[in-house]
Amino acid sequence: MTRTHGLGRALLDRFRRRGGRQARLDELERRDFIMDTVLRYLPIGVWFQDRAGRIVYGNPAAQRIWAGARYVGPEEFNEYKGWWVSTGKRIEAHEWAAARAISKGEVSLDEEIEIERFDGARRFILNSAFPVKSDGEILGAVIVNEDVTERWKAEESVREKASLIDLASDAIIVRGLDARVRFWSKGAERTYGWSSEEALGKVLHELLGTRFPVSLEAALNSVLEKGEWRGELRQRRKDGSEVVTTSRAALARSPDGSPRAILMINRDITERKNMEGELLRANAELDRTLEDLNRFTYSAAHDLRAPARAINGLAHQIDADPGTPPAARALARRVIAAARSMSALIESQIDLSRVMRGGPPEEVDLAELVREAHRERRRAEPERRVAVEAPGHLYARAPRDVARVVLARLFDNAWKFSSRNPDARIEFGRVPGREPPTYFMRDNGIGFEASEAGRIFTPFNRLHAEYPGHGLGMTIIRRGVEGQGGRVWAEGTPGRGACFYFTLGGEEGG
Amino acid sequence: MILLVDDDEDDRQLIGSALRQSGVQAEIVEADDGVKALELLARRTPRLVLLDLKLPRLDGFEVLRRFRLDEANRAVPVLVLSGSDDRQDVERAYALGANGFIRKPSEFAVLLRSIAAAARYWLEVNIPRPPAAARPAGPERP
Repeated sequence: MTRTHGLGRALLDRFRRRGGRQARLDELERRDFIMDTVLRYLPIGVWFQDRAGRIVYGNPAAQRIWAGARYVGPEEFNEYKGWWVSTGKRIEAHEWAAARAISKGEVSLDEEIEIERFDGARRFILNSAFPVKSDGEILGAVIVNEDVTERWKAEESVREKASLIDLASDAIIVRGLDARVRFWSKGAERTYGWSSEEALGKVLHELLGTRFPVSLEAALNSVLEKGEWRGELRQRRKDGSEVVTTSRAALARSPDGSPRAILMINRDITERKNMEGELLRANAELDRTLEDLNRFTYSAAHDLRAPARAINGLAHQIDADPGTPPAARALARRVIAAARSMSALIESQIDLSRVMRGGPPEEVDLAELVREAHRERRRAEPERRVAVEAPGHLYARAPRDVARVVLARLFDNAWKFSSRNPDARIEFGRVPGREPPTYFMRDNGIGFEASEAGRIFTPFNRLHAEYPGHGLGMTIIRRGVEGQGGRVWAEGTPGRGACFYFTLGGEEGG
Repeated sequence: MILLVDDDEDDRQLIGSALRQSGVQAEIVEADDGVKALELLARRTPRLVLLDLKLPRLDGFEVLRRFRLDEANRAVPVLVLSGSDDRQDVERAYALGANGFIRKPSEFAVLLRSIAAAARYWLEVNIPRPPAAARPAGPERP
């Protein structure tokens, strides 16, 4: 029991054998009691060796560290397995601090050692040993073990986190509720140019001249009430230049729940902002160029109408003149046909410019536009009889010009491709119950193969070459509806007819 | 008398020809700018005015406005002609007292039908109807 009950007593036995005086014995009794208590509750492992180097005592903490004890002499220290942390080499029996203390009287402090406990588990300890001397004679040694495994793990984790935080390019900042900087990451140094030493303790928004999208108070209240805040900040670097950041702030609380500090991660988006600005400017420039181009093509096409009309009309005069020789008449008719083709292209260009220009959306009666297109067609081909069905009114919001062009082109298309059907029929309306409002233009003309549905909208691609046209009508229609955020698609059956569907964005209609 | 106001010689030729081909027998007087048109209108009251909008010196809107100031002229039908179909132009022309708006199409055949229909309606003359196969459309009012 002596061995497990304290070295105080063990040493005492030996001192006694050396023949001490009684008064001294009483004093030693008292000290023994104190030492015994201290050793029992001390969280640090303490071992004692006798003069021969044999381990004679290990306090409870020491036995916890090693998961047991071996009361062995220096020659058997191999039973204690340990490795130098610095080199990873196994510690030989004579190399243990305890062995050196006994054999050479060496004092060793806090040697870092990895041990294998008697239950096989690995731990890290700080190992110290020092000789107990009397009149130069080594009476024994004291070994002190401190298990630092948990502490090292925690420290390592903290170190890793700290290096992670420093690795982050974002500025990571902790500010106290007094607004003063408590932590300033390497990313913060890079973002703002202020070193950690310079920033710590400073009032954050003063240091950075922060301009909030809302007030500082509002941001602070959001953090305190909701636990977080996000927003874009304009701040100044140390060199005075402006930096734009997206900021996320979160409230850190004490274990009792009271607010303790505000953690912030600020990301430098200055460059992105500049690029966005650059992009916006470039886009605006492009828009202007396109608009100019569109205006030019529109007015050029518009101005071409008069000469085209003159060519066409004057050739008609020649054709109609009874005095015109037959050869000249034949030429005049070719001029008429060419001018007609040119006119169609001009009208397509004008319509394309119109749908590209768009305009402010307004309430438009689509059914009325269909009737208008019908009147226009009837004027051009009064001999044709086509049954046209459209509701009394069908309102939608769209730029009037766009709606007019789209419906006229769809109607003309239906009109053209139903021209060989003596009972031609064109139906316009809204598909019931479908959202966004979906409109249709159906005819009972020649139709098309389902496999060709996709090709219809390709510019200059004509499905039916035997019908007049340039293959631009569908391009104009598509550009028109897509410019309004809508889409157009077609269904058809050869010989039965076609149906074109379109939407004008998500706008309410009907 | 029919007054035809247009600065484009080709267009005057075509419209005149369209009127003749429509069967209009009346004398056609031409003017190539707005001032000349008003001078002619001050001297004679036509049965029909065909008025282009884009004119030198005084544009078609102004000619129409001044012409309509005189109460006596209100009964004279004025058909506005335009190379454009700008909606605002159409509305403005009607607001100033136009009786019709004819977009000058790039195809003569279409122009011929528009002119023929308008002439038959506004002149209320016995212009013979063309055969059924090529019958022009009746008057179109929005």
